Amino acid sequence: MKHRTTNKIAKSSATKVVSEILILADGKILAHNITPEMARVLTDLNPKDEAMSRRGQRENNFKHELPN
Amino acid sequence: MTCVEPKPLFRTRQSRASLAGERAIRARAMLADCRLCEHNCGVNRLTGETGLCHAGADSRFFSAQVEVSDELELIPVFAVALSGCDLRCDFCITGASSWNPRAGAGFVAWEMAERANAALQDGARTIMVLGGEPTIHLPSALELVSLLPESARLIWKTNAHGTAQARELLEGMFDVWLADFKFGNNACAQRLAKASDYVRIVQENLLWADAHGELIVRHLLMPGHAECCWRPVAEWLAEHMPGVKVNLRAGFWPAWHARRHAELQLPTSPVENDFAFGLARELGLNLIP
Repeated sequence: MKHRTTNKIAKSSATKVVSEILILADGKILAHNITPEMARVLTDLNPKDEAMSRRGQRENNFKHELPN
Repeated sequence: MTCVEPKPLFRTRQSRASLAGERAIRARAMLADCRLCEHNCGVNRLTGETGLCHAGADSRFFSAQVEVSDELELIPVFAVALSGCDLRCDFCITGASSWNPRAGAGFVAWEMAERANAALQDGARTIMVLGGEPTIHLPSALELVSLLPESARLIWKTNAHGTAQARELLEGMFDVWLADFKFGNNACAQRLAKASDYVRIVQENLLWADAHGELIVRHLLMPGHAECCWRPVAEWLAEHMPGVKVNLRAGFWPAWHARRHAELQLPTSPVENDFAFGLARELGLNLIP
């Protein structure tokens, strides 16, 4: 029974776009599988986060960097 | 007297796609005596037997999407995560799907290639095949490569626990190996990931990958493991692979079964992070974001 539930959840993530975040007690946010959309949200939440901002910028610029 | 036909002086270089198609067939045949990873189970996956990874002959995937959380030089990446893994890392961030080869949806190479091509046309820089662990799904991964354009920059994201047999089929297929070096000693690898002889196997894979193409080594800093795991990893990289790109990741997330281990209940502390990055600088590692 547990397997079925796990499969159902995982199957839905195979066809949907999924990011996960974990907000710690001190307000720090951890994220994985960050999609471009999530990067924009995280940048909006903390514009001073240079690392995330660079990821957002990367996404904004990428159409100009291809093709080769 | 034997008449030997002279070899042509110039041989047309076989395309990656064509080579991948041939190797995919060989890789699928190898499932009859599966030794793709260093567990060396030797089971016949084609007849339904399963080894430690529990994977069968067909592959499934639990995620396929454009992401920007990998190394800056790789993103945006179209990341295809295949279900199932040969390691059992208790802190796996995607444990439910990574440990379960039946998770997700059935993998159809041409359908995934279409999605990957669409992502490339929309501006993705790279296509990454990961897991779980993609090595256990080598036939499917190679089938996908056989359907992708030669110009596509392909990333092989691996736990570096594959065998020489698997590496032989992977040679020249991916532009970048993005390989984890998770544990700095065999005791931690055994306790946290059920992996034996871990350090030797990973080092062998990393040396091979470095000699055969572009390599990025990743280490996820784990709380309480800066001295026992990060230090030996960092020192080995500094000595044996000076200049190799290293991504030290400090965002440990107490996921999946991390709670089984007292030291893995929380993220790493600022003190541990400072120590780890300080050690990297001291050893002259080529850290990349």
